[in-house]
Amino acid sequence: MRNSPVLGHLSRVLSGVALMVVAGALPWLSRTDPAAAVLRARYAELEPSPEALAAVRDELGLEGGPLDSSLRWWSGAVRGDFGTSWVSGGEVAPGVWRALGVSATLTLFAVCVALVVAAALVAPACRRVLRDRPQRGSGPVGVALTALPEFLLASALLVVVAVQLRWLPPYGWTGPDTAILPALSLGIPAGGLLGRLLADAVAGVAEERWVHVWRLSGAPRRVILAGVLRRAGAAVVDQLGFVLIGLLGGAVAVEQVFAIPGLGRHLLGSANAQDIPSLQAGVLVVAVAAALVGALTSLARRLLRGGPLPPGSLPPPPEPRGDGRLARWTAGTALALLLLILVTGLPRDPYTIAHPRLAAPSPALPFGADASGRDLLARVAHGTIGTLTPAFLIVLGAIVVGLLLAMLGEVSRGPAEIANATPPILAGVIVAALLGPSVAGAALAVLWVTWPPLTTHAASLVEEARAMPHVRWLPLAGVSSTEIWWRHVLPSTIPRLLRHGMLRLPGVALALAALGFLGLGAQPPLPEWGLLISEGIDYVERAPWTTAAPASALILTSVFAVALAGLRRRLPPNAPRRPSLTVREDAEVSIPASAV
Amino acid sequence: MCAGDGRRLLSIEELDVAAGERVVVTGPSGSGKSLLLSTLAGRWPAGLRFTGERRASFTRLGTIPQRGLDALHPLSPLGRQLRKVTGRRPDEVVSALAAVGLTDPDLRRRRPAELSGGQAQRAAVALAVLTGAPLVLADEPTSALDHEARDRVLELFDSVIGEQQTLVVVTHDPAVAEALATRHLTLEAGVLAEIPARSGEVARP
Amino acid sequence: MSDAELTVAQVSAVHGRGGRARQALAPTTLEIRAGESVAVVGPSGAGKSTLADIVLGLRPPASGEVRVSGTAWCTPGSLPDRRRRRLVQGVSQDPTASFVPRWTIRRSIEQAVRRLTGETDAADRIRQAAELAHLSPELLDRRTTALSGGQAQRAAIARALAVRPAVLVADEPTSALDPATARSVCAALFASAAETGTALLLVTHDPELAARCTRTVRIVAPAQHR
Repeated sequence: MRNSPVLGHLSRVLSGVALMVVAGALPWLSRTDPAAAVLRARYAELEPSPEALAAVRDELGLEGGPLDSSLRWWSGAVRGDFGTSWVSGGEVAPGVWRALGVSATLTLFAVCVALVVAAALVAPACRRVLRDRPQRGSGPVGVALTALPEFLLASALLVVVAVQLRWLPPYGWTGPDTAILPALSLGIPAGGLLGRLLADAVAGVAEERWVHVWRLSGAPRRVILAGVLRRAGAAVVDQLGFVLIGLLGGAVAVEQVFAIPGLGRHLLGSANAQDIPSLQAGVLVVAVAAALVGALTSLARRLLRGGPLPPGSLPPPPEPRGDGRLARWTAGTALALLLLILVTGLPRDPYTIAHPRLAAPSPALPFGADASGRDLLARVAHGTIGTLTPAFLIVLGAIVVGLLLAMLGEVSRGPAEIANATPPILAGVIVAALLGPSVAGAALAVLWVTWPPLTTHAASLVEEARAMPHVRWLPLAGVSSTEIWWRHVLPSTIPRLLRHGMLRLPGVALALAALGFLGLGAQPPLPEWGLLISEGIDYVERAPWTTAAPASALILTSVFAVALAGLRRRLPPNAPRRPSLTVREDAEVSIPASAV
Repeated sequence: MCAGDGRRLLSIEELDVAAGERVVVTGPSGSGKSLLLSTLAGRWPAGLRFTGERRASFTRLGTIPQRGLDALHPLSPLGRQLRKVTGRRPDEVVSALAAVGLTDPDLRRRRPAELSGGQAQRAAVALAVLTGAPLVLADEPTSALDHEARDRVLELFDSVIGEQQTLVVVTHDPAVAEALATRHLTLEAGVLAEIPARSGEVARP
Repeated sequence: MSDAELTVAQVSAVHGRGGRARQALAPTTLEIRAGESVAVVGPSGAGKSTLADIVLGLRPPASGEVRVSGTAWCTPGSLPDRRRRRLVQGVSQDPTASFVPRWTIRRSIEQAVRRLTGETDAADRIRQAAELAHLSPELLDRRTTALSGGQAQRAAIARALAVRPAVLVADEPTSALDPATARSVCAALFASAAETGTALLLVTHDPELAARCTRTVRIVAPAQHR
């Protein structure tokens, strides 16, 4: 029963309905009293007297429960009426449509950039297929392109190209030239990820037996290449969705950096102002976009695979050879440098204002001082703790959730799909709007996007453990099913799940930092990487070290994450390969470090 | 011919295979059977050194692996992929598939991932026939099949693979040699030895 | 015949669900009395191992009923009660299936005896079972990974017999062994079943092995839909 497909569909439908209710009831769910918020925003001079509050409540129609306000909102939304803003009192809808237009244009440009980057990364692998040369991994270029989170790349491009070189306008949305930098910041990481996935898949597929057989049979080269590309595409098509979702989330950060009046900035602005109706409309549009992405992905899957296949009949392509040593070295170096920052910086004081403002780096102050005169080395080192501790707790929480849901089987299908389609930044925006920005809220948002891959993995591990011959035969020895779970299935599952979770740790830290950068996570004066970068970015011309120090810590983490993801494909030397067991194809989704 | 990486893995004084022969090479695992096939195909695994000479006068080669699926693109419909790979006309593909017992038009539209092991093995035979290659190499073509399916595939080998096509099979299953061989070789620790046809049994042409 | 230890009545099995469902075992009927041995033969894909799993109570049948010692054992809706598991034991194609890899053979057998019979001191039973299965006692303190295939299979027989089952199911018990070892394991299997009067259900594709049983039941491949 726990794996019946009916349950899966039921779970999808129920989750969809729940999502719609929650979206409609956002004003009601908001922690702050909406009436007070509206009063404060519109009539700053008015005393929040009970009469005034009641009048506002009446005007907004906030009486009644969540279901009531939800129904009311949806009945307006289907007619294109998203309600009135709490802040301006104007109609929400026109602003949302305008923002959508801007974002759609930007996304189009970004997709073009991504396709060019991806094609450039896949080309060498294709050439090797055509020339019948042995394949290699995608190499350091692909890793470098994916290692930079969008908000960091955007900041770097802004500083170097727009501010220092003055080649392009630094912000706004006034003409084609203003779209170049944002499109690059969005498209390069997405294209890098896509290209790397595809290049690795092409390299793996090229080693499959049929390629060899076809070649010996005298098949034309273009037929072989087309076959390889189709097979590789089918292997990575599920991850295509992740890349596009990543683009949606990245857009929030990039629009913020370049001050582009798109949907992302609209969402962020609404969240910061706690203008829930405005946020609601934006979320709805993004949800529709995410659903479109899902439909697009399944269309691509259908084109490449041609309909569902019996389970287990399509083995994943072999992993490409090579790049293991390079990945180990990269990961090792990044980790060592991070530890160095940690060891030297932790004994120092991150809060005391003891130095000249924006003091330049010197032997006494290796990273310089920030705008308030605080020691940056200390702040970055303490930021490591401040970023990694929540990340660690998030991963542990995700493992627990994953195991629980894996036991429930198909019941978790619906929530998992919705969570998978949520960019972490969007989750952060919603949580921050409801609970106010805080580390806990950001952690909750990141947890929401972290559990699905761990649940999928846990489910396949549990399935694998239950299929082991001795576990299957335990009932013969009179062992109850509860005991089989606790003493035989879980002990063989948890260690591998922990390992997977630890590999996700850097990615989770990056997502937290992205939220911090947007002001949705940790609040000043807490030292947290994302927050440190956003504090420093205002002074980047006078004192570039204020951003360089936290950014380099972040890049090190990012490089570490990507290198680890490369390492993960290698089995530990003594782990038995069990090809006879069913492992779901999507069991381990590689960490898209830039999908934050 | 010999190939080796320090140790000598395979050493063959001379092996001449005539057109139309059905050569079966048997030997225990690790005796160099796969390496022999690589040598015949002219593709050696990386890290091996090859000395000697390989005289061959063909550019196309039919290959039948242990699992038929390994010879086929898992996602491309069977009929279409045979057409594309071999460049043959649709009716030729249909008749080749019919010859191996895959007559159902529905099977031609299926993707190999949807075929059973026996069906995929037959499709691999059809592919080898359609290439029209003078030499067909088969690597343990029956070890993944049960007895009945094995017997059917062996019959196919004899009936379908053309008179002008030479077949070389390596296997650890002596039954294959009995059923098929016009010439039986054994391979032990990299050394080939000929087993003379048993008296009373006339080698088939 | 009500004196049969094992009755399999019109038992069939289905793999998968909904549109993908296909019959894995055509309705099968057989009976085994105490001391008898019955060989189940048939082409691959006919559902021989599925039948073994159903009789072992590891999966429920899609239709029909299995009765052990005269009472219901498993039916489409239910698997056997845990307290009655003692009655049917098995030997698998893969001898490691009978043992938890990180436990010694002795510990695995002890645990089974304790749970299935309620006896706290299993030493006597273990010694007897090892004798029956021709397993030298010093091997009892090893793990399956440290045993050869033949030794592990004998240990599996010992484990199954230690709880004195009424029915012993052997699913291709020799297919993973070389011919000489297979012969000696078979000898141990038949001898021990005969000595204890256990009804033996032997799933095999080997005609020689089937010939040594009291009777042979041939099952046919289920009709394919595709």
